[in-house]
Amino acid sequence: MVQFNNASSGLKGLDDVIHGLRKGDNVVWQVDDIRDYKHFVIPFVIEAIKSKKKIIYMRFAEHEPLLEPQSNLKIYKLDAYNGFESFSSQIHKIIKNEGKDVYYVFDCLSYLLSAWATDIMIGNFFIITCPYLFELNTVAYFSILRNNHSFKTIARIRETTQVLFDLYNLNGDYYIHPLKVWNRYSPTMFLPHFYNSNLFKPVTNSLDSSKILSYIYKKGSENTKRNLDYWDRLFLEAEELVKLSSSKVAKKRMANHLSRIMIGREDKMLDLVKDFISLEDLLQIKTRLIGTGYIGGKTVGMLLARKILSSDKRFNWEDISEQHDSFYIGSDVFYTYIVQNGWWKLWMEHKTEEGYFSAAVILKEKMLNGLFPDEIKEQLQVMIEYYGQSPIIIRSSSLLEDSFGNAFAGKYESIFNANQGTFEQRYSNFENAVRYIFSSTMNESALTYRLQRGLSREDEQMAILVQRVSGSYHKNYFFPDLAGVGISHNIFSWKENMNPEAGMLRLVFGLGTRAVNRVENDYPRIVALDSPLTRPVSGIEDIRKYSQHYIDLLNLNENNLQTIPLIKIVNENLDFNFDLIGIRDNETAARMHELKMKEKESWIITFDEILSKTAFADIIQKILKILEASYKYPVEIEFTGNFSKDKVIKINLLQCRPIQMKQKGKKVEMPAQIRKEKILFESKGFFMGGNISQIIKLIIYVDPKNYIKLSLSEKYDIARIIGKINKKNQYKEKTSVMIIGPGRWGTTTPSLGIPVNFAEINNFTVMTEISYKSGDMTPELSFGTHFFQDLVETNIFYVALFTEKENVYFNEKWFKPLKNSLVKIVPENEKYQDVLKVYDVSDKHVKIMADILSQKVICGNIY
Amino acid sequence: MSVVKEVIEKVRRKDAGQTEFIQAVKEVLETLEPTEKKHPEFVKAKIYERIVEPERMIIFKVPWIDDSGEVQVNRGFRVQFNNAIGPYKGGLRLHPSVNLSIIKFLGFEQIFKNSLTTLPMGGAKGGSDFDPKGKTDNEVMRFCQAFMRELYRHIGPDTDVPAGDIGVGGREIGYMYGYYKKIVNAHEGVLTGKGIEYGGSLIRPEATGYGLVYFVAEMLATRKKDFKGKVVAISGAGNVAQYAVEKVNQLGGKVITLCDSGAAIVDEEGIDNNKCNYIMELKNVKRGRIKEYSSKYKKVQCFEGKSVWDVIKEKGIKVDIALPCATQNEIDKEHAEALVKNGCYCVAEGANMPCNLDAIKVFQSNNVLYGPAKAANAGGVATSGLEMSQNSLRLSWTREEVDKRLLEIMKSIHSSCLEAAETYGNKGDYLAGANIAGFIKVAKAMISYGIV
Repeated sequence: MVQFNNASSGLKGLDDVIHGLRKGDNVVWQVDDIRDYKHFVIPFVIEAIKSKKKIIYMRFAEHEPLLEPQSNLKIYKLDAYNGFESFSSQIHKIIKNEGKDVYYVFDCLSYLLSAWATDIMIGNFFIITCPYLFELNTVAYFSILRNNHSFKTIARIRETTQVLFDLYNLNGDYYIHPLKVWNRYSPTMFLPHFYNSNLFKPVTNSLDSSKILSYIYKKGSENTKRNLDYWDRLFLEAEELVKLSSSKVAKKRMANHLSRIMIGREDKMLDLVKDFISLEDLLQIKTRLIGTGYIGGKTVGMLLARKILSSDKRFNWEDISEQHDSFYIGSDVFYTYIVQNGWWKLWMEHKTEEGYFSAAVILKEKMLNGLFPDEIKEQLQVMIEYYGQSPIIIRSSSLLEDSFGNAFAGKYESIFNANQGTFEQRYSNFENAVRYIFSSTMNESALTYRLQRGLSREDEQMAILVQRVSGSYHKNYFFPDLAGVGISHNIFSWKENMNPEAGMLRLVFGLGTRAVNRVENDYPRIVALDSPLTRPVSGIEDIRKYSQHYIDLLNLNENNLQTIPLIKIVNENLDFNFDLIGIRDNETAARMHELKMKEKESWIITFDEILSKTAFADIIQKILKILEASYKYPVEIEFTGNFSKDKVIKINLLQCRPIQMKQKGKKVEMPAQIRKEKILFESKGFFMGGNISQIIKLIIYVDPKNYIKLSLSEKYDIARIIGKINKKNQYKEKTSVMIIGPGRWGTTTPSLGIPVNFAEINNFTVMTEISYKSGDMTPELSFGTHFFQDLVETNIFYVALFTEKENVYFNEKWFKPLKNSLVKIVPENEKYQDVLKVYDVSDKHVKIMADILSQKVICGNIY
Repeated sequence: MSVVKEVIEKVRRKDAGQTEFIQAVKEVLETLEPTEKKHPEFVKAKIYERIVEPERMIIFKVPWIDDSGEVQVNRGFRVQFNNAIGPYKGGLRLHPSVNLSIIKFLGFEQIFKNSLTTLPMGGAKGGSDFDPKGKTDNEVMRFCQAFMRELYRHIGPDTDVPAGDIGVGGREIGYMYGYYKKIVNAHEGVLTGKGIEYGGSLIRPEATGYGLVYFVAEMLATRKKDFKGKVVAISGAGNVAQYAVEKVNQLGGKVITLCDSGAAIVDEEGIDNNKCNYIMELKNVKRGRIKEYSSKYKKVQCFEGKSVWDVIKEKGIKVDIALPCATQNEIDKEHAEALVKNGCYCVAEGANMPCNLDAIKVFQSNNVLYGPAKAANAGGVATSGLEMSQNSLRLSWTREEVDKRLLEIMKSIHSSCLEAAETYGNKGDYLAGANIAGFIKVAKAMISYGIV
């Protein structure tokens, strides 16, 4: 219930005009100059201090401070450049903590434009802050600079605030024109008032009224640009620069400014953008931008990569590339969606420790059903009309994705949209897809991920990338000839003489979801680009097993994404040249015949023809190397490939990002001097899985000396016990486990290593093999080859410790002070305590770190 | 000290460093101790000392050229251990871990495995430290040809008949056979595991699974039982398991479980022939996971992350017969106790060593019929022998003929094991009987030859 207790502006005359301020009032001053605002702030504050009110100054703008530090005044310094969400939630927190009946003075809101660049976000800020202030019976002073905001924004502010003043300084004379005074009225309240000697006289005669009001009106309606958001005006300005062939310096300055508001905040990425993305490019991006705000990491990565490649004169990118006609939904739409559907309070609750997960559950549900602002809807509809019935993919493109050091891959959603049906159906499906992606920010896995990396309080602004699906029609299916992921540094070199610098690919037939996502029991083709035909497996049985058995594609009749068995696709009489991508599997075909199956043909996807007879491998390698050189860091790309009838390939580059690292959001800084006794092992080279900086909580160590003494049957027991421990660790992210064992994990010959099957170690995080001598023999380490493809698919990090080599150090004594918890975890296996050691190191600060550039790996008490 | 123990010590000294071989000798010879007393002639003729010494060990270089024109050199091995009862027989393994100790240990075990089949096959093993992983087809072919270039002079249809093993599948057998045929200018049964088109045998994939069930049928007969109406738990879902299901169905039993590394399924209605066909399609053609079976057949329970034996233990499922066909040591003491508690009275091993030593003790002390892998899964080895027989006869038997002979072989194996167990003081102990039965035949043949 609103309390009509009076407050004061500090000026009796003004209080008389508006019948006093009231608790709960938000007072907005529209001014030409900040000094005018200050002129009225000071009496307000003086009066507040006199009345022993708590007064708080929110300082965030670049103008001169409105108030100097003094007793009875609390000043909060805030940084709007942290983003809308951080800023707003900080303010929200302050307001909450300060409680009721507080007086606030805010810096000029118009200065937020330089940080956020859009009126719509300022409007959003106002919409979410003011009602909260109102509830707490505060009195708050705000100001905006005239002519800096669109009419729409002013309208939104007017709608939300309780009091709105227009303040004019005519040659030193102040005129105040109350535009809104909630719940108060007098016949002269809404006339302009002349302020003189503490008195506010309404301008009542028509001569003076018209003179002043027309002056006011002229001030307020400079040009038609006031219909536009600040954002649009900025881009119009940019267009003018280009049209008028302005100086390079001016264009560069504008390009940098636009990059900061549309591309991102990460310095490294912005540096790259500066080198490659011109003002013209940015304007081009704007033409396909829906809403305002950032285009997000995924989009930046894609656009930047394409530009880098087209800029390279040694490489004829235009000839081999498939053009893109993507659209982007700016990140402001995400916040606007939350604000305008009335969920901001819930959003703030989600930002607290207590409500982080619980509020997210509610938000997620709500976000699946919200409404979009009309102006956004219109633009989305135009986009859907543009694509017609071509399949599209709607991808998350958050601010934090795909930049240096952030491994967000797979945490948010991407949705394939077959895009069939009437316009209404297509549009409705599209809207739902956007809602789904927005709501995926509330997925538990994403939240946990952010929490673990200390990103839970950062702005995770969600933009969206809409791309046409690359591929062609095959009856009622739509898919590309091939798709894949390429990494410029082969993080899975499985042979000693392989050159990691050459890069690697994961290739699939059909949509690239099967290369990007890791799926059970299905394997993309792994290609080492320095030896494309070499496989990590041998024999037709393994080749068959570790190949692709299912295809992801779009079914246009059923209007959805489907996963179809390969066996079905190859027997559908599609007009597709399977010889390009595979070999006939006559053995399985014979088996099918025996089983009287209706399908007749069987194929194994190998891509041998493409890899050996076309320029594909060379082209992709060139792409990777050019991008890596520009990024000055190994990169990862997603792409599709489609072949013409004469086997000429066109590549569609979908994504590009610096190579992602496991677990932590920062680049691996290898520790400098660690005392030897703290190190468990250290090695140069001989590891697979990319960069890692992973805390280890549990180590399972198979003691080589005692293991080799076991009988054959006992060695198998060890394998089975390890499997039991593995099963107890189903949630890999919760307990990171490292296994260390002699010889070859997964061997069928127990004397050569531990004969586990993959399902017995698939929940572990790191797999380590140590070489050891058994009699005359030093079994060659497997390099993970028993499970190679499974290791790749499940992201298990692998280390080989050749203890006989010079730059390898393994410190078995490191285990000495630790207690073996084997019996605690698997009680019935006491007799193997000397062989199988399970060490809980969760409080021992144990970490494994590896850096692919220096090729160093280290593990021990190193953090 | 017994002769056997002395021999083990001698091997330990003489072959110090050959850990696998020493362990294999120890494990086999210890089970043969009961034969010492009954056969003083074996002791006199130093059979135990002679049987642990291979007839010959051939180690040779295998130079070949890779795709980039580089010369590569690998080491080849063929350990011809014992041909007392028939030509040497044993697989070829291509793997970087191959060395003399491993080949010797495998060859030594092969003597007894082959002898148990009652077919005339000696024991041998071979291979090379060549790593087929990462090699192109052409490189594998060149290697196989280079390997055969040396090996051919030591093998022959009546001398030594290699087969496939790890790293040697149909492709490699084809390459080796083609080259042998070229050099020797003869099309003869010198390798097994050949394709049907050039002398291979039918029902090779079925053999181990069928053989397992035939063996079990014999075991049941000792208690005047058969498969009709019996509830059978099978683990695994590969060839052995699939064909075991098929054969159990033919003999009137009901299989209610299968599993793979991801899940176990329980189908109380029984995995009938149609469902078995579905499994075969799923596993052999679609390369799917067993849990898809429970999506297809609605009344089936699926237990993710569990083995069949875990499920039987946790859910108290009643079974009569257990046929582990998945992996080594999949049945431990607790699983075994649960099986006994749930009424199981017959266990036979389709996989290699699926029951650990504690589990075996539980079965033996609870009067459960226990068929060790050595005997129960000898069907695969037996079919190798049948391929040799067909090659010698220059005939290709029909499926039914091969199957019939397989049945007879499994019956023989069963009766040999049982007889040997009884004769040597371990009545009903198939495990003891299996080793002894295989050994006795070889030992007696060796006695016949005098000292050679």
